Amino acid sequence: MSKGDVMNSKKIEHLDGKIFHVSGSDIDTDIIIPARFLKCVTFENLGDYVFNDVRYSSDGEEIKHPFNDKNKENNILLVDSNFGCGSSREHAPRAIKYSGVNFIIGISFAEIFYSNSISIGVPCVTVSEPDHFKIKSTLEKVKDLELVVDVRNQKLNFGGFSIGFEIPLGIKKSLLDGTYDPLEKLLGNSEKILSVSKSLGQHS
Amino acid sequence: MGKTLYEKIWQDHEIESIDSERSQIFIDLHLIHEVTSPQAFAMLKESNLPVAFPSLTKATVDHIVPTDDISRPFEDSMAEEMIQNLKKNTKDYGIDFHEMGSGNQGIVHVIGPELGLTRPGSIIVCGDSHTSTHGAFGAIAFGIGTTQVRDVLASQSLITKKLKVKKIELNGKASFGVTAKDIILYVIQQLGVQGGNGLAYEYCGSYIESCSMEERMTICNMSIEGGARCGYINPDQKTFDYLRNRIPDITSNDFKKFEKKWSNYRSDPDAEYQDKYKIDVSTIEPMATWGTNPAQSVSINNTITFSDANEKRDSFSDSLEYMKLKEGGSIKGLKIDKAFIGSCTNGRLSDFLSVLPIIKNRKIPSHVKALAVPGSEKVDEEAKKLGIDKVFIESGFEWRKPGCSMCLAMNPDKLNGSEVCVSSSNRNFKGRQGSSTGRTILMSPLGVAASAINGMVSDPREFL
Repeated sequence: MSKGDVMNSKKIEHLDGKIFHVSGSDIDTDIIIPARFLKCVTFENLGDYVFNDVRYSSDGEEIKHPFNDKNKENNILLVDSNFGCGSSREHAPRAIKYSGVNFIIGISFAEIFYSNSISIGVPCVTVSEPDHFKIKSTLEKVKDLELVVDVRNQKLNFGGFSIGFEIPLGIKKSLLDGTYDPLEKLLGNSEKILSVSKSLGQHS
Repeated sequence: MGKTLYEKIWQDHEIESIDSERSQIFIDLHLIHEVTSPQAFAMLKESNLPVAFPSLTKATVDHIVPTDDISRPFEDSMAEEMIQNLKKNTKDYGIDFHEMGSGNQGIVHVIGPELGLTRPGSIIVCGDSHTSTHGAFGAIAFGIGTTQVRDVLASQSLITKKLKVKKIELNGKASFGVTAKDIILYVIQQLGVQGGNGLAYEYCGSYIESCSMEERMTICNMSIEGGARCGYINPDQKTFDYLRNRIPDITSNDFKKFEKKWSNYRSDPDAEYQDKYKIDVSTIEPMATWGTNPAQSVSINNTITFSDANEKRDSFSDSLEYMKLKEGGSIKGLKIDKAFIGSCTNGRLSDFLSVLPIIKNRKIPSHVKALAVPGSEKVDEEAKKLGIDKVFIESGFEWRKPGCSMCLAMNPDKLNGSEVCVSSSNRNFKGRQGSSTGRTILMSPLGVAASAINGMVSDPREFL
């Protein structure tokens, strides 16, 4: 199996920036990026259409929405529970990434969204409901709230608070050593892949 | 200790354990379509990589195809670009492409089983969340994102989390006029849209055993709407009989060997499960969604009430407002504008056959636009041989060509404004069917047909 020209990804150890909140449980992938914007052969321009149909009315007028209010410095997104449910389309986390977000904090994530987002270098981490409330209410009081993420120690530091977040150990390691894009690892196992394929009666 | 089917298949396919939760696993069948593959092929080209096992990837086109005029080039230039992109990529990399006119094209989760590609004991992936459909054959089948499509093309494997299994035991007989679609809608309503997060659902019980393969596909298809990335049913004689004539060039001796191998994947009686849910299906009635996620559903004759079991008040109210409905109101009787029978959930031959008693010798009112979209060229061909298409047309349906159609607005079949559509598809999210104020009501094909005839959301048993 060829290894091609696969590059390692950037390590993610610390992150800082300004946080903003999109509220609502069960925000689905059709809301995050409506299907008509999936008619493309590249991922270019997806960032322009993130949350399109809740940001703009059918007449094209702007609706009040955190993605309309945010500025370039808002790169950390706070969401609620079951964020990203619905489709397996990677266009959803990509649209969020290309709009300038590079970290997402929530109570829970839909599984496919979660793994897609991490593999493209936008970590998703979970916090408890009380801690989520703490971030949310601090954000309501402090405009342009700054937040620092310490991946290794699993801490979110903001407004004098330091709260812990959850992340599976294996995923955390992959952020710290820049292997969250698994391609190199996958290709490195070519002999084992061939051997399993033979045991299953599959041929290349 | 016994093992579940999921554990047995995982064990046979594990290439390497990556950490306590995830492993690199071999993929037996990779299905691709025009929406989630272009960027994956572009990534391959960028990294100068070949496709590792071209014979194990199969392609078709389904999401963007028009269902009326399929002459080329498509009117939608982006759709034309996407189909050309897929055609070129499959040609460049030596991948089979089941294209329009081949006799085998259709919705990816309809054609896989038809072509005998979907088999027990395999791991099947596709860049589409309804890949769970193939679990009906006793496979681990799940949706993946574009980067993972690239991973599978490059290495015929991917790294993914091993799921825990929840047993969903469905016993008894479905009542008159109640279908597999109503039953899975009921289960999702009970367990919630997040109920299956981190889990694979194993559907079993006497009801499941009585289901045909197409009914099993409907049930497994909707697993992701309940949060379960993967849902499956243990293979049995029905599974083998379905596959017997669909696997080309196989001797009956070899098929017997397959049957034995496949039977061994069945969950052991002493397998352990993370959690269990058990019901008698006989009290379930025809269902309809009233809201903006598939768990927001109600029995057709019941009123819409709030339950805090799986939902918060504000999202309940928000969904009601979007749908222009009231708490305590009924979904039955709501005037409809469009009706759609089709999709990977309910676009198979048995789905179309089932509604004939409702639509035969009846006409839909002129204010309703109704589409019947066969799930594949094979379904279309079979339906036409039986003259089913004519019954639909006589009653006022448009009989279309195969594709995803009205399920998701990536092709010309869409809603306008705040139109109401009763649909046999799988998602009723806001804006799903192409209008940011459009309203989708999920029902079984029987429910859609009855509602189309009445011009309003209806109980199908009225006509049976």
